[in-house]
Amino acid sequence: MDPLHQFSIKPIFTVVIGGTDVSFSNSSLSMMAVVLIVFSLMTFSVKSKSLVPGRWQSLAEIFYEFISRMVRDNAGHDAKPFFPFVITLFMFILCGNLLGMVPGAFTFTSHIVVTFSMAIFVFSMVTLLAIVKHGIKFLTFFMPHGVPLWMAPLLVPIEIVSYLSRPISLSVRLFANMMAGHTMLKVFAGFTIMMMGSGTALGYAAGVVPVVINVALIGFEIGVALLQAYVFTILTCLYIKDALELH
Amino acid sequence: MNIIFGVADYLSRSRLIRTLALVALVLAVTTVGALASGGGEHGGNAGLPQLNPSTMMTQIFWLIVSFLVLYFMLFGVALPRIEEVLNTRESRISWDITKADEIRNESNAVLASTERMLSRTQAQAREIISRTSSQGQASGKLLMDRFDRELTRSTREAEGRILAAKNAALGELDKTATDLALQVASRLAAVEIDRPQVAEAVKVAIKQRN
Repeated sequence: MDPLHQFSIKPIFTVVIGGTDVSFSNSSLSMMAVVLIVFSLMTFSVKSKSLVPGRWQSLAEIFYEFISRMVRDNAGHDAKPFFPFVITLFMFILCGNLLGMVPGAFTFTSHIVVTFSMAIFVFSMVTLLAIVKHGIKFLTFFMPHGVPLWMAPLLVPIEIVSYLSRPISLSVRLFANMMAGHTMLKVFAGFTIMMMGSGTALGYAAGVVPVVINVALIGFEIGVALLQAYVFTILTCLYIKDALELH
Repeated sequence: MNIIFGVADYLSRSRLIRTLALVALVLAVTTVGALASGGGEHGGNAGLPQLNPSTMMTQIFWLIVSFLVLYFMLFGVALPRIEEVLNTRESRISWDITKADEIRNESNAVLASTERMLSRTQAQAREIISRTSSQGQASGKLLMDRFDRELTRSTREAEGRILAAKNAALGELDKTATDLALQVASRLAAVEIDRPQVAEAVKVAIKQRN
């Protein structure tokens, strides 16, 4: 009945590498399932190489064109080499979110450590890219053009803090959305069980109400799953653009 | 075409990106690992499962494994395949469009020449019709004139013939009347009269009658 119980990590078999426990858990299983699903969708559906695509091939092509357009429009033409990474990121998060909507499945994007790892990787990569590409000029990123010099003592710390908070906002946004949604679904489902548990006719009748609410919430949660994957990806694109162009 | 990013394009700049990604991965793992183990010192097992430090390393480990596996699967197999399909379709469609343009231009040319021919033919037909009708009128008039002349001539001839016949008849009448008068005179009066005298008398008598 604990709405947070669904987030607990349950090891399936124990793996220890270098003294660290890296057991294969329900979270790892979800990740592997996502890898299989995404790879199957993007590969086997495109097997026919047909001129007129079928349903699944259309879906794969839509994802491909959607992300390649997103990278071009938001990160610029120089961001081409990042396209495979960005599409992997998008498909991984999207399918992780959607797989979490299957009853009983584990939502690995509802763990801060997962989203934060991805965010900190994006952040490190983007920062390194900016330093490699622009050298010391990278520091001008914290001092926007056209700002009077006397504003610098105020503006530069703000810019630095906002830059450093990028991985936090990026990861917390995804994690909090997924966790809150799933908790809410579980809470409403729990209401139904409690009402029916009363055993009275009134309890059974009232138990329908949270179910109806949950139906709406599930639709809403699927929307959130799509939207958050999109937000994470498009922000990554914008960060890459910042690194390439130093706004 | 512009929107499709080629994977081949990636390879030319892959070394820098790959190095960057590797360094970023190391940085990310150390940062998150340090945070996770730091949390383990003063965090308990109670509360949110998300804040349980004992499960953090396994998640990071399997995240890296699954993400890398997915990345190389997509990069190596899936994306080139989709790219090829899209490129093939793109070139096929643009070829089709070019071909369709050619055919359309061709058919437009044919249509134009057909229309030219049609209008030329119509003009010719109009000309022939007008020529034929004017010819018809002219030949009709000619026929009419000839007929008129013929008619006039035959009428005149007929009139002449009638007049001659009438004169002949009148001459015959004189002669007959003279003969009759001679016979009457010889029979009734038994007088032989000179024929010229009688003819003269008959002429006078006829004149008086008329």
